[in-house]
Amino acid sequence: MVDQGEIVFMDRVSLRYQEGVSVLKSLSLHLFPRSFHFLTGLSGAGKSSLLRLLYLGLRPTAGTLKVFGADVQKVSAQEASLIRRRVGVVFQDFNLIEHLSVLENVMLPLKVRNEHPSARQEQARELLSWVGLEEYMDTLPKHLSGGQRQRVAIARAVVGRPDLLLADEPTGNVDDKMAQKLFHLFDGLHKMGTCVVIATHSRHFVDIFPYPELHLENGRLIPCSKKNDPTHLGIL
Amino acid sequence: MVHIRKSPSDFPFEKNVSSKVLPWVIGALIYLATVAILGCIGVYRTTETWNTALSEHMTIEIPVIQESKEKTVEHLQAFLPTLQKIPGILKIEIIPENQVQDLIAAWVDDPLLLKTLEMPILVDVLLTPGQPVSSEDIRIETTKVFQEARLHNHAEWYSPVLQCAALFQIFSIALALLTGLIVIGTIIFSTHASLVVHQRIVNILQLIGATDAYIAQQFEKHTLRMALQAVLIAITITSTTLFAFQIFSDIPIIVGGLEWSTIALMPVLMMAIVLCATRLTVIWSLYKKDLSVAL
Repeated sequence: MVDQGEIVFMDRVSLRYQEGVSVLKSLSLHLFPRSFHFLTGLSGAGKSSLLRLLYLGLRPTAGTLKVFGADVQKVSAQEASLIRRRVGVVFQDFNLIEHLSVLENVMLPLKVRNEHPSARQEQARELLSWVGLEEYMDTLPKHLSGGQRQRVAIARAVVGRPDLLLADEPTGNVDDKMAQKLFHLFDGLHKMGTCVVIATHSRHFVDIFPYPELHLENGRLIPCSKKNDPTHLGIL
Repeated sequence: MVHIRKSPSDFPFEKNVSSKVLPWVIGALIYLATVAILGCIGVYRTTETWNTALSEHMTIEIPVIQESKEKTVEHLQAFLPTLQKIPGILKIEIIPENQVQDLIAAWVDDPLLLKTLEMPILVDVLLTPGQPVSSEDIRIETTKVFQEARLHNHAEWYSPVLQCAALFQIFSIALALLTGLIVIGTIIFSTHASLVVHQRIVNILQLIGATDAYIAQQFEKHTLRMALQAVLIAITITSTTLFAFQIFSDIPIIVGGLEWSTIALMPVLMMAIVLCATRLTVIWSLYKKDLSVAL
């Protein structure tokens, strides 16, 4: 866990795809350990692109982006891998590996870190039980419902106790009860020191959790005054 | 107590068509390379034997025409010390008649005919190794005394055979090298195709922190499995070929340790090549991809 210093330092970062479309425009943002942010905005506002920058899926076109102190413009593939081990990502379309069982999918982040097989099984089993999938550990993802697949994706994202958790619509396919449970899981992680960023359309959770909102509009971050505490916003 | 079962590969390689075909292709190529090198060694050993047997010897053939055989032998015995004085000649001896008959016997089926044939007198001239000798001097000196005598300088006809053998050896080595290159090309092509097919899984693994080396290792494990199958196939075909040669031919293929070493080392060498080619292909492809991960 990161105890001090910024997890994400973003200074006038822009992102333009090769096709020429400017997705993010001069974003500046600081994210710290033990912080929790909702990322909101309409479809196409740039939420997924921003998350993609944060999990080092792209290099920014302009500006400075540092994740865990490493300049993303200069980072090597090897360094990127080590940074990504500290980042848990819940993808909108889950991105599970279809020929691996639920348990094997969840163990994967621990496997790439070369953790002992028994330790990784223990952690993955524990987490899968917590998200209510203990009966599906040996099942292939294709036999699961959308909600179950989403829970597997969440379990895989958090199994390595990441310092930064990025989630793109993590509760879009689960019922309200499970969604609430998952948000409490994210909240628990954040209280343990993880910096959490959740992209969501659900106003319900944005409103009930006392955490700041980063609102994206046409590729720009718009300050939101909802939480009344501008220091929480992280927007410079 | 947590039950630990064998972890499957992160990639569903068994679904690749190449996984079924590649062991046979590589196995056949290993076999081809092994046979080419065995052929090269065989030719080397044969030419070495010939070299020792022929390049250090000349033969003088003296037909028995003008006088009796005994008289001719008598004259010859008197002449040999003169011949011995020519520089480069180590030893001269008349080949006994029964040995001459044995030499001719290979071309004459009828034993009676063999006995009635008038055999020439053959003189074996042993040359000093590494010292040049003038075959012309020997010819001139001999024909002064025996006008019908003929000198057989084996090096004269043996030289083109040696050149031919050297060409065969070069061709064999080139074939083995070409086979190695084809193996490398095949592995690069199939690994690259596999990376494209499994691009999504590569991306997922990268996003959860897998290093390029980890991903390359997954491909290497798969290639190693295929290479082991290929080696088994190659060893089976090679053994069958050698066994068939042993049964149907008098030519000894396996003479010594060099041949056994080739049969043992060629698969190991090919496996090393295959693993290196796989690793470098994956690492290079991922290096070119940079951070770009599209999911």
